[in-house]
Amino acid sequence: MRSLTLGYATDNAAPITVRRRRWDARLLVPALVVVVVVVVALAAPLVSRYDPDEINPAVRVALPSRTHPLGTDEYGRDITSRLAYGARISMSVSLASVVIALTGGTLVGMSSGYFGGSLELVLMRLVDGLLSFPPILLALFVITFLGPSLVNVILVIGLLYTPRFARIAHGATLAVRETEYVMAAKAIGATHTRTLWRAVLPNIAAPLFVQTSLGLGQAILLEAGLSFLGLGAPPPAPSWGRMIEQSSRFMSLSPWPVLWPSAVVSTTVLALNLLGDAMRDALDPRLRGRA
Amino acid sequence: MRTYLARRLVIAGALLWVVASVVFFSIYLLPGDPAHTILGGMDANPTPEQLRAVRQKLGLDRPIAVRYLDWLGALARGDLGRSLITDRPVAADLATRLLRTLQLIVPAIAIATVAGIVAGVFAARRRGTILDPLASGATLLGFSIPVFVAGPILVYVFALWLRVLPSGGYTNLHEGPGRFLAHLVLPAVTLAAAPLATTMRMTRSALLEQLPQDYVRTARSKGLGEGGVLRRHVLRNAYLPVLTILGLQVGAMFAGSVIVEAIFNWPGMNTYLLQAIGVRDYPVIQAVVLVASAIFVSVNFLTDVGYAVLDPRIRYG
Repeated sequence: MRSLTLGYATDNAAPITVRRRRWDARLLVPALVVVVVVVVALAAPLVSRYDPDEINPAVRVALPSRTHPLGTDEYGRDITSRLAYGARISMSVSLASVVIALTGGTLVGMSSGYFGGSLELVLMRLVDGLLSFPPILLALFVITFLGPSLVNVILVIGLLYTPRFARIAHGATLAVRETEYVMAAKAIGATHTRTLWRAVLPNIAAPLFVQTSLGLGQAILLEAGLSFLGLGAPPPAPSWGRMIEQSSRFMSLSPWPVLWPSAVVSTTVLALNLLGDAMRDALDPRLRGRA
Repeated sequence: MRTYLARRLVIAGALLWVVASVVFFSIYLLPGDPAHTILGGMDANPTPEQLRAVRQKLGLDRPIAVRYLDWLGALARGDLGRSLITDRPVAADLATRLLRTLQLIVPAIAIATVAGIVAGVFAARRRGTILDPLASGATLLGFSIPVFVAGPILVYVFALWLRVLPSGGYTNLHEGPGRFLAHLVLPAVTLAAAPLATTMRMTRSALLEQLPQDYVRTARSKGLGEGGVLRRHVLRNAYLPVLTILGLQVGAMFAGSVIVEAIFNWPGMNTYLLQAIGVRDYPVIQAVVLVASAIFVSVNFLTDVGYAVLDPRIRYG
């Protein structure tokens, strides 16, 4: 995936044609998976009638049955229900943090690319600095000092992913800064705000959309990783990461309570990655067939 | 090349100084009185003596500017302070832990790099056959399956079900190389999976980039064997992007090792950090974050150096 961002023009890339492209399935299938996860998250109480935290010692580590479609975990909690409520956590954390990162990163990247000068120098150095550290380490450090809570997790992930959006917005802004339509906007006396909003932003939106899809997947992973380490949303919140961590201690009884949330996390992240890839190809046909 | 490297070195140094400062001032981010928080939160009732002791140990009783300079000075001497819990010097403990983390990461990097490059070359040279998309599909799985999913599944299959490998833990290398290796296999493979996928993908696309070029045809037509063409010409050119990614990979490895160490009970730097977080041992937390950051900054710097060595355009540019 990273290779794509390098964007080589090559002679073995597929020729650019005007005929209808065949990316529909590549876009629709992952989009459908994402929609299903969102619907399940929204309709969690309808998906399962069990309270996700309800402990029932009578049915500990039960296999899938009619009463518990995906079985129960080591406390007899209904796995379907925990997955559905866990989807709420995953979706809200990833969505909120990516909105923060997208907004902040676009503002930083677009203004530094547009205005240039020392503003650009300072901001982009900062971005480079933040990018050189792995998110999970920074997240661990910040969460240690702020304390684990859903809001803090959202803020931290949002902050950590801001530089990625900033760098993309910066590069795209540099590419459009000298175009005729930006010049024209300036020439007719548009304010900087208006030029950025009406001329620059719509033309740098495509790569930001792609990064949004990839960023959602990464945010889900980071949230799940943090809650796996016990530093995500505090218990008993049924986060996917915590479900895996807790049940993995009881795998000798049954692997299923680990496998279900594992499958759900992996599928959701895979879908978001594929969606990002498909969007990139759809928006930039030059890159088709690469990597 | 000298100006290029000098500039990189200055940037790396500045970055480290910023990190050290952030780590230093982070203690003042703690809500309320840090000494109170360390002694068990606001509900606990520490005696004034206890509070004074903690303040003194953290240096909170002295002016912040003095403390800051002391801290930077101590860092320069390699003194990372003492643990609040065990009162042992953090630097010594951290050195042991870091060595174990490296014992995990270095084999993982070797697996990811060698297997990734071999698989990438394999896929690129079989472009158009069914094997190429199969290999690419496998790497997509490698990307999307997070370590905290792959780890428990590997534990279940190899430790609980087949019972061929231990589910976690660590043996010192000199106490038993066989047992050390047995403990190493699962965590190292878990850690290597995603970077392997990235390396394979990068190698494949970089090769596809280079193979149709004129110099490849020239090398072939002067009678060089296919292996020689790849090693002497194609891979040298294809490696610039792969090298960047490799630098990023080492960072990703350290990041992944946080979770992998937790899964497999590997007593490395990250479990040291997680334990310290659990008991609010701030000097340890600060030290681990600082040392880990120093490692990342150095790796980034070395990547830049590697770039300069491999790419004459940068060397003479």
